[in-house]
Amino acid sequence: MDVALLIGALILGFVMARLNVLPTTWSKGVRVIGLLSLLVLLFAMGLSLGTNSDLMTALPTLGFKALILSVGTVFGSVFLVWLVTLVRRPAK
Amino acid sequence: MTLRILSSLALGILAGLFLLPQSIIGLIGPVADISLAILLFTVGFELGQDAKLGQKIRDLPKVYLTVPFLIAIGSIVGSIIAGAAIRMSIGDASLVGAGFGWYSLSAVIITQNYDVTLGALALLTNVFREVLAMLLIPTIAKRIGFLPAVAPGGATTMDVTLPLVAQNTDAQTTLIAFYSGTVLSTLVPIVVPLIIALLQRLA
Repeated sequence: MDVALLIGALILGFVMARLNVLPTTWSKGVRVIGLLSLLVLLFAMGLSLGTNSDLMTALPTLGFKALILSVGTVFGSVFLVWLVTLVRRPAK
Repeated sequence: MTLRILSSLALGILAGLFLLPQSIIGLIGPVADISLAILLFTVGFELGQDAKLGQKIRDLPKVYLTVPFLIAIGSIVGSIIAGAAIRMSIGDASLVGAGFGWYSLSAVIITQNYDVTLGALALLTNVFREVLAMLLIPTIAKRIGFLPAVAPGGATTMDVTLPLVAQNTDAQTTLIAFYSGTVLSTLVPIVVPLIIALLQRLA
């Protein structure tokens, strides 16, 4: 996937909203399109995962790894933000 | 929402396993690319529609501007440390951690540009992160503090987990959560490809 296309799509959406090119009533439509494209995207991802036989045999082991990694990301991010609240505790 | 997302993915996996003729496999990539581009367009559109977005960000106390970047660094470092425990390389673990909870986007970028298996791991990890965030935000807000309750949601605090932050903290923290989620959502399509480029150069 061309990354420039991704960022370009993001910027195009932002600019179009800022320039009011579309009627304001379209904003709900855009949200629906977003949801639909997300579901299509996930379905397509599921297809590419389901047709990958190497992956499907590896899937039972990925669940455990994913759990460990997700706990790591949560702990790491909460810890750093907590540290900043200690440093910048508001004076009373 | 999460149910819709999980069932969409599960349907795709099942169809891929049992229904799909091999000849269609070549079409999956382009379909995923197009829907991802449309998805990013709608994300950009929603950001652009918020006329007060700039003012909201300017009104924050300056130290809070660091929150999304602390969450980004904490997520990546936390993932590297957790990854070391299960013998993952620093590069792969940081790539998975850089999804910041936005599973659909980070997993697709990794799957399309780097490695299918690592993409699947990123998907699972970031799905788990969102579920963990939903479970932990109330407890963290109560026991540790309002600001740390913004952290577990990562990029999702601009949409899916924002109501949870709003219910369990105050208006200021909610605004920070939205700002943080916005910054992290912007960082995902920049940081993930950057790490991939680094890894490919080193390989």
